[in-house]
Amino acid sequence: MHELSLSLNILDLVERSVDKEKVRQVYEVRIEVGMLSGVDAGYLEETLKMVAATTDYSKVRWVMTQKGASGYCEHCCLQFPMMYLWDVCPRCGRRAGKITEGDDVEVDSIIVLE
Amino acid sequence: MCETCGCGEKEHDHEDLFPEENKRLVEVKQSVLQEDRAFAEKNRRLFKERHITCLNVVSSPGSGKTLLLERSIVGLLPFSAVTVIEGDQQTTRDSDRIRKAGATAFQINTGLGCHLTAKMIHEVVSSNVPPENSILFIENVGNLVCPAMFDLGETKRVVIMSVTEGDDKPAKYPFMFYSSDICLINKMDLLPYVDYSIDTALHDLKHIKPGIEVLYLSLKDGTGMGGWIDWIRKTHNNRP
Repeated sequence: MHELSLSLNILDLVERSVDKEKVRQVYEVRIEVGMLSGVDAGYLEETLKMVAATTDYSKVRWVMTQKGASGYCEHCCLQFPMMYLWDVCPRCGRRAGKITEGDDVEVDSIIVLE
Repeated sequence: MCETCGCGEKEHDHEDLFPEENKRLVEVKQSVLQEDRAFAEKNRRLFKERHITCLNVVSSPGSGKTLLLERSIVGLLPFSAVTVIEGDQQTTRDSDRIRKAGATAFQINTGLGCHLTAKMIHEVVSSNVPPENSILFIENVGNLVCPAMFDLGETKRVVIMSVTEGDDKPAKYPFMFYSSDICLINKMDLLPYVDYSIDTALHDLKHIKPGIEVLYLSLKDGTGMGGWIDWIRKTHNNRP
């Protein structure tokens, strides 16, 4: 359940990103969950609600978006979409040299009420 | 009662309470793992500067992580100092075992946490810096899911799979095997008594991570330990 520790990280990040003096309330937090991040967006939303329940962020809308993944083939210099960690380059059939997108969880933006 | 506005109605839409003109978008675009990654880089730098090989040992509970470390300490001490950071939700049982085996040990109890983080490791290694030119083992919390996504700044990640767990572990927990550099298949002495196919396990493992190294061990009788100690010494001598 690494979603629990990620939720605590997200609360920290929200706390650091908004100027509490000027903001009446954090209304919505938009989070992008990479398809190959190893994180379940549904679990993350549930644990966020749980850890935020006793904080200033108990009424925040946590909006999760699944972000597609892509890899880069170092042999063909080709960027291609990935569904699984073991996907191969569609041009040469070799393994993606590295995952370039979709292996992370990112706080994209926050909507605040002033 | 509605929890948002406190009226007598059931939970309902509040768009009217929050007019668009009062809303402001704050762009963040930051990774949730940013802080962890920064600590992982600090650890990596420290290990490099002090010529320390750090091995992050991961597996499900009961596959033999602590016994592997006890046996490895005996095999490595003639060549190198060994430090172990133990991660468990509770108790100091593992660090007690490690000290008895002859190595310096630090215990991290994660409480509700299901994995170690780079920050936890940094707190230990920055105040108790392991000796120069030595081996540092991190025994992560027994769990094939969560520790996979947390870089601790290790030199190599070592995953153990024991034959009693079943041959479907790589297929079921691909992230862990994908993120590891070497797979130790343990409890080989029990292979005749369990329904475990080496071919199936290897097929799935190599499908997920073609370049992963594989060693076969029986920690109970010591089979394969020579190859494992050689691998650690080779990794230590060839570290960047």
